[in-house]
Amino acid sequence: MERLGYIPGDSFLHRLDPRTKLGLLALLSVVSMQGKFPVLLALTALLVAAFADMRVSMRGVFGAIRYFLYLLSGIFIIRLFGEGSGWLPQLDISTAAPAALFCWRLLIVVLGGAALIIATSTAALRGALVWLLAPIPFISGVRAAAMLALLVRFLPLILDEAAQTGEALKSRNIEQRRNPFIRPIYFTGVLFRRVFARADELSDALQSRCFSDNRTPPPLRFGVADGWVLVSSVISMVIVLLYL
Amino acid sequence: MNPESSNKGGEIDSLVIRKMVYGSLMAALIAVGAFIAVPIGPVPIVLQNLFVMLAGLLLGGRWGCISVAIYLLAGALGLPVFAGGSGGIARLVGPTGGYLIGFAPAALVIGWLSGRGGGRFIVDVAAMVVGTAIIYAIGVTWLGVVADLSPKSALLVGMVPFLPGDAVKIIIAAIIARKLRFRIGLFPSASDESGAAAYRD
Repeated sequence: MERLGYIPGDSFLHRLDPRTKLGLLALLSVVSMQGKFPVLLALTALLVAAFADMRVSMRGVFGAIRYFLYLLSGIFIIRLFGEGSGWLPQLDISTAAPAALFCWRLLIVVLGGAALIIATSTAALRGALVWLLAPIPFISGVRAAAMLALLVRFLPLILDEAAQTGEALKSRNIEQRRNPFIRPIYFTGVLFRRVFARADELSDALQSRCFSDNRTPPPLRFGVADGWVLVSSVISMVIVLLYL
Repeated sequence: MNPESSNKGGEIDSLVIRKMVYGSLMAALIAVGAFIAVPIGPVPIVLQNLFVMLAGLLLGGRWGCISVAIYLLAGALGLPVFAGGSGGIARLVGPTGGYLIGFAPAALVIGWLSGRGGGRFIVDVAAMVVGTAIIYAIGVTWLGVVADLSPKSALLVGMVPFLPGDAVKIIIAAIIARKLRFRIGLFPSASDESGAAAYRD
């Protein structure tokens, strides 16, 4: 899997209502940030089971989020070095366990987001967001939901373009330039030109398809399974926050 | 997101569609900016608040603010778009939540001031200085309250170390905005009144 994206399927997660899936992601982000080792282990097992049920290999998922994994390694290394009394950072082995736990928590949230993106079509996600935003005054739920769905789709595109821009600048010896401002200016300038060109293509495509406020919303079905999943998840969250 | 910008059939004006797409793109860039660090000499700078400032400069106050609001909404829903790949309401109300919330008024003010100045370099720089002050005013106050720090400690921990990097980012953002503004086509020339109105809307 090169990029994260919707993969049609009939897994348990695919069959859930998109509103339930958004609720689960919100609960997952709270529980993973508060939970300790056994809770994180249980959440990881659930996520691995969910990916297996969707017939998506963990290797593929990690490949798709590889840039995030590089960042996570950086965070782990930074947290491994204690504050030390001098100017030089000092390796502090006692911080290894908390640093690993912190990175594990972040990884769980990102894997939860990946599972949501793989199991939910853009149309279904948009439908759920329109429903969520409908009660908020002065906001067009249709447009806000469309923008959120576009944001999700733009993320992997920008990461790809950023990687390509970085490589292209490296191959042109940007690292040899003495002026330290040249690198960020060129990098950001080129990246913006590339991604805005892609955005222009997208807005032309939306216009040519008569993008409007009166779009037929995708059907949302909140079934019995959704009710059970949400109720049991909320109860689990309360137990974790109060007792674990 | 004015409903009046669509006709009776609900079809949305082409300029509004373009601004919506650009707004989503800027929101995604702000999210990705938290992951991208570009080295300047020995110190890497994270591009997130650089992109927030560019959202205001390139899209104007209103759409810059909408773009940041969409980014915050995505994070509040749990999507991993905040720094360090986290998300969720907990992050918004945590010690650094004030900085995130401060991004929205900062983009609004930067875009508004820059629009009034017709895109002049010095006005852009001044607008970003004001925007950065807004981010710190909200962020440092929030940090002090949530982490129970004295105002002096909150300033020392949550603002002073980042000021040199911010000065660099302001200069870089002003240079990039100058190069990209007319390529993107939303920003009018100072003499074009109809264009100016479209930019403000």
